[in-house]
Amino acid sequence: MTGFEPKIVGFLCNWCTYTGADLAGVSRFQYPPNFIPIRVMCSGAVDPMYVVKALVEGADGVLIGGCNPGDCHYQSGNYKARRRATILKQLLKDLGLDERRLWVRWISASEGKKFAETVTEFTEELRRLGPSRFREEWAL
Amino acid sequence: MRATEGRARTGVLFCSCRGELSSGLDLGSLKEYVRGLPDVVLVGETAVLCDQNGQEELRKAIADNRLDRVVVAGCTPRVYEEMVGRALVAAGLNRYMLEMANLREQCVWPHRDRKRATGKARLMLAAAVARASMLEPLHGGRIGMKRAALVLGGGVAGMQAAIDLADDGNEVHLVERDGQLGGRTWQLSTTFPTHECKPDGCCMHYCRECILVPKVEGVMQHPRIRVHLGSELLEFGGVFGNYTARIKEPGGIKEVEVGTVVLATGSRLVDPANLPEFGYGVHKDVVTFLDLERMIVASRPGDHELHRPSDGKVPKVIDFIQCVGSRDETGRGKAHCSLVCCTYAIGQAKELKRRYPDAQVFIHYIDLRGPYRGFEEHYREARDMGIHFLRGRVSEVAADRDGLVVVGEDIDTGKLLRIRSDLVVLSTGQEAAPGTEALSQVLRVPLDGDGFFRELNPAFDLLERKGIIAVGCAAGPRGIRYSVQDAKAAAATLNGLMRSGEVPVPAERAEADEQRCSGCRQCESVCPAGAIVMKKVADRRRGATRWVAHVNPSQCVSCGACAMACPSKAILLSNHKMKQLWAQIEALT
Amino acid sequence: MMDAIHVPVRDGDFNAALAGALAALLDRHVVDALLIPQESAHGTSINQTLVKRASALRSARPVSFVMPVNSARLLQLLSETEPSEKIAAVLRPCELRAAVELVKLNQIDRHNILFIGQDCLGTFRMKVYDKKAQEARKAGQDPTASLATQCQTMLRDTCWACEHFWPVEGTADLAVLHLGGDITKELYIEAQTDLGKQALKALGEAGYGPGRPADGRKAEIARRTALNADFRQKWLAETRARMGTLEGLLETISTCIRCYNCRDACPICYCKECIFDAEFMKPTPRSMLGKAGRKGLLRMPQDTLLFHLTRLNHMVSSCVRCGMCEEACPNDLPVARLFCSEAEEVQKVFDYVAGKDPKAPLPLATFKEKELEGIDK
Repeated sequence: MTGFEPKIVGFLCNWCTYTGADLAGVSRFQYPPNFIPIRVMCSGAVDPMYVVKALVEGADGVLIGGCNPGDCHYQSGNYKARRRATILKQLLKDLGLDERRLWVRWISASEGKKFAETVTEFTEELRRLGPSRFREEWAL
Repeated sequence: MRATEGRARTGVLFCSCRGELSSGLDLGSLKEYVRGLPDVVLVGETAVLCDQNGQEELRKAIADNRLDRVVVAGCTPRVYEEMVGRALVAAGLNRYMLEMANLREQCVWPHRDRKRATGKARLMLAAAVARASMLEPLHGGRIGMKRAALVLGGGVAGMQAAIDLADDGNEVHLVERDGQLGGRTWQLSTTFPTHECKPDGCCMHYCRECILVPKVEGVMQHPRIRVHLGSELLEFGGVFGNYTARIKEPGGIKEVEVGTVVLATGSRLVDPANLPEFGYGVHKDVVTFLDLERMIVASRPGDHELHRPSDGKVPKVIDFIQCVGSRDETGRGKAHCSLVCCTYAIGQAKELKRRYPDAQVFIHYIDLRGPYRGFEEHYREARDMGIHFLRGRVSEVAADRDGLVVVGEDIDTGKLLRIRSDLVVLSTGQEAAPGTEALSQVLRVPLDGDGFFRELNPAFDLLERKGIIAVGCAAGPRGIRYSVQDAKAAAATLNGLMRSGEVPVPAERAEADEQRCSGCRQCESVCPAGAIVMKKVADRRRGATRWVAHVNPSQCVSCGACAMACPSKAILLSNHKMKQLWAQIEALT
Repeated sequence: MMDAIHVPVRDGDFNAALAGALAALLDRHVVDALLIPQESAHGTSINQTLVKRASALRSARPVSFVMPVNSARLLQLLSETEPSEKIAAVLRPCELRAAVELVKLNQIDRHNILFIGQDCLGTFRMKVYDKKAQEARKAGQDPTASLATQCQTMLRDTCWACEHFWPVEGTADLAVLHLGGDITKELYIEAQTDLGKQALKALGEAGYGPGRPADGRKAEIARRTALNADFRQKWLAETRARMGTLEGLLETISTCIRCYNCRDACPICYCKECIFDAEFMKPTPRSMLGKAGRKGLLRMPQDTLLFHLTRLNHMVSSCVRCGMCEEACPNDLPVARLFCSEAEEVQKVFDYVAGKDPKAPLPLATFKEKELEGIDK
C-alpha cells in the first residue's frame, strides 16, 4: 500500500536497547522515524498488557528491545520477558491478531547499527503487512 | 494558557542544544502543539540547558511559574537526567518530577527529514507530557548498616581485604575452608619478577616469605578479625547492610551479622587428567607446575637437587607445556586464558636453568602472554640463558622403553618434534573454585561466561552490587600482585561505605500495596535480588491477618520484574508505574 | 495400613454409601469439617456445603452431575486467613486441578485441607440439569442415581473435551474411584498420600475393609479418553477456525457486556483486586473523546478485547479447563472454548499441564537459560 507509514511503538530496556538507540543517534545511523521509543528499566518489566494495549490502540507494530540473553543487567529479566512474549505471540497468532507485528530483539548498548537496521527492517516488513486493522476497527 | 483540570502544572522547556534541535525540527510548530496539551502552563526554549545559565533559567522558570513538574525536550535522559534533576532540586522540586523527551539522540540525529522528524517529535512530546502528568515525587532514605564484613577465603586477597577492613574499624569474619590461611601462595617457591630473594631492586616482596608469614600473623592477631578455619558458609540471608551469615565451623554453627561481603574464594587449577594426551597420572615424570614448585621447595632444606618422581634422577631435559586446560577448544578444558602461566613457566624454567646450566629446557607455547611490567625483560633473560621457546602445540606425551617423548610441532621451522624428555611440566590453567556456582546463587552475584564471579567496573555504583565484591582469582585468573591490589581497592570502597554507617535506600524501587496484594508470591519468585519477603499484616476489611509481599528497600534493584509478574499490579516500580506507561501508550497511538 | 478401602453400596444409593464413609472422618475427628455437595432443600440445585455435624449429611450428593461453582474458589475463601480447623473437601478432577494450581499460587493452604478427589462422569449445564432433575423427580426417581446409570449425551462441551476425568496420581489425599465398575454396587476410596493413608486408617477402624479399584478401570479410562480426545480435536479445531481471524474473534466477543462473570467464576483468577477494577484503568472523558475523535467513533464501554486478551495472558498457563467461565456468561460467549484452546497451545510450549503435578513450577514463575531461542527471529 503506497503512502502508508507504519507506526511502531518500542519498549526499550534502559541498560541495553535504549542506550543502543542513543548510540545509533550519536553515530548518525539513519533509520525511519516511524519508530517511537518508550523507555523501561528492563525487558522483563514489559507486561504483555502494554503490548496488547499498543496494538489495540492502533500501533502497526510493537518492538520489545532487551539485552542479549546472559547479559541482562538484572541477570534474568530477559529470560522472563522471553516466556511472556512467547505466550503473547502464541495468543496473537491463534486469534488472528498477527504475531508478526510483535518483534522481540536483543540489542545491546554497543549495537547502534543493529538498532538502526532492526527498525529499518521492521518498518519495511510492516509496510508489506499493511496498516493495522485496529486503526479502523472500533468494535473492540 | 489552557485551563488545566487542577491536577498539575507542567512546564515544557525546549533545549535547542546550540541549534541542533532548532535546525533539525520545526520548533515553532512543536511549541504551538505542546501549548495545547493538557496540564501545560508554560512552554519555553533555551539554547543550552546543560551549562550554568541554562540551569539557572530552568530553576527560575520553575519558581516563577509555580511549576510542579517539568518536561525537558532535548537530549537523552540516560546521560543527562541526573544533572537536570539537580536544577529541579535547586528550585525546590522533587528530582523525579522530570520527564525528558529524547529529541536529540532519538529524533533529530537519526532522522534527517525535518518534516518527518518533527512529526515523530510531536508524538514523543505528547507521550512525555502525558507521562509527566502522572509523575509523583519519590523519596529515598537511609537505613542503618552493620559495620562488619564477611570475607570468604583466606588467601592473599582475602587476608589483605580483612586487614584493610579491620584497620578501618570494622569487625571482620574471615572464613577459610582449609585448616590454615594463605591459600595457594604457600605452595609457591618464588614469584615474578625476580624469582629469587632480592631485598632491594625491583623486588615487590610478593614471595611467601615476605608476604605470607607476616600477613598470616597480622590476620590471626588482629583484634577485630575473627578467623574461622576449617569453616564454610552454610546459609546467607538478610538485606544489604544487614546480612546474616551462618558459618559451619568444626565446633558447630556460628551466626554472624555483617553489612558487606568480600568474595575471595580463589580459583582451582584445571585437572590435567581431563586431558589424557599429556599423560598426567600415567607417567610419573609428568608433573604440574605446582608439583614442580613443591619439588623446588622440598629441595631447599635437602641437597638442593631436583629429583624427578620416577627414579630420583636429576632431569637433564625438561619440557614445559603451556595452555594445558586453557584456551581449549575441545571442551575438555576451559576456553579462557589463565593470564599467569607464561610468566610463571618462564620463571620456573629460569630457576632450573640457573641450577643446571647444562640442562636443556624447552617451553612449548601457542602465544606468549605477559600482562605484567617486567615481562619483556623476564622473557629476554630466559632466551639469553639458552631456554628454547618452541611455538606449537604438543599433541601428546608418550613413553617408550627409554622414557618420555614429547610429541609436537615447531611452527616457526615447520618441523614435527619428538623430544626425549626427563621431566614434563604442565602449566595448568585456572578455573572457578568448587562451590562458586552455589555461592553465586546464595549471594545473588552473577557469574561470567567462564564461571568466575563477574568482574564489574569498580567505578560503578557499589550500591548496585549490594555491598558484595569479588576479588582476586575468584573474579578470574590473575597473579598475586593483582589479587592483592583488587583486595585493597575493594576494602577501600567498602570502608568508605561502612564508615557512613548507613545504606542509602534508592528512591527508584518497587513498592507493594499491602491492601491489594493477594499474597500469591509470584513477585517473590521472580525477584532477582531477593528483595521481596512475605509479611503478616492485619487485613482491616476482614478482621484477620494474612501474608502480603513486602519489598526490602535496600535490596531492591528496581528492575520491575515483580511489577510484570503481578497480575493485579499490587506491586509497582515507583518510577515506572503502570498508569504512567498507560498514559504514554495512549498518547502515542 | 490400608492403601484403599471398599465401600459397599446398598440399594444402589452410592451417595448415601459415600456420605456414610466420609461421615466417619467427622465422627473420628480426622477432620473438623467436610466440604461436600448436597442437594438443596428447595429446587434441584446441588451445592457445596460446609458440614460440621455428621447428622447434617442426609442430602449429601458427592457424586453429582452439576457444578455451580468450582470448589477451588471456596477453598481459597476458606484459606484466606489461616483456617485453624481441618477441612476435608470433596473435589471433582477439574476442581482438584484448580486447587493444585491455587496451592502453587499460595491461595490455598494445603496444610489444613484434606483433598478428596473423585472420578467424574461429567456435568450438565444448570438449566439442562434442572430440567432433567425435575423429570426424574416426576418419575419418582432420585435425579443423580438415574443419571448415573444412563449413557449421557447432553453433558457440557468442556466435559466431553476433558482429558483427565479422574484424580491424577499424587494430587489428592484420598481418591474416590468407581470408573470401570458398577457404581450402584460398590466404590473404592484410595489413599494417594501419607495424610490419605492416615485418614483411611480411621475408616478402617470404622469397619471398612480393604479394597482395590475395579478390574475394568483402565479399559474404561482408555475408552473414554479416546472418545473425549476425538470430540476435543473437533471442538478445538472448530474453535480455532472460528476465532482464528480478527473478524471471527471480534464477532465472538461482540455480545460481551463486561459483567466480569467469567473472571469471577474462574477459580484461577485469584486477584484480590483485578487490574480492570483499578482506578487508572477507568478512562477519562478526555481520553475517550480523544479516541473517538481519531477513529470517528468508539465502542462504549471500550477495552473489551483488551479485557479478554489480558485475562488470557494472565491465567492461561494455569487454566484447568473447567469451563465455569462459559457457564457464568449471561450471553453464552464461547469463553471456555477460547480458553481451553489457548490453554492447550500455551501449556504445550512449556511442557506443562495445569493441575497435574504439584511439584512442577508455574511456567510464569520460572525460566530456563536456554529456551525459546527463536523468539528474536
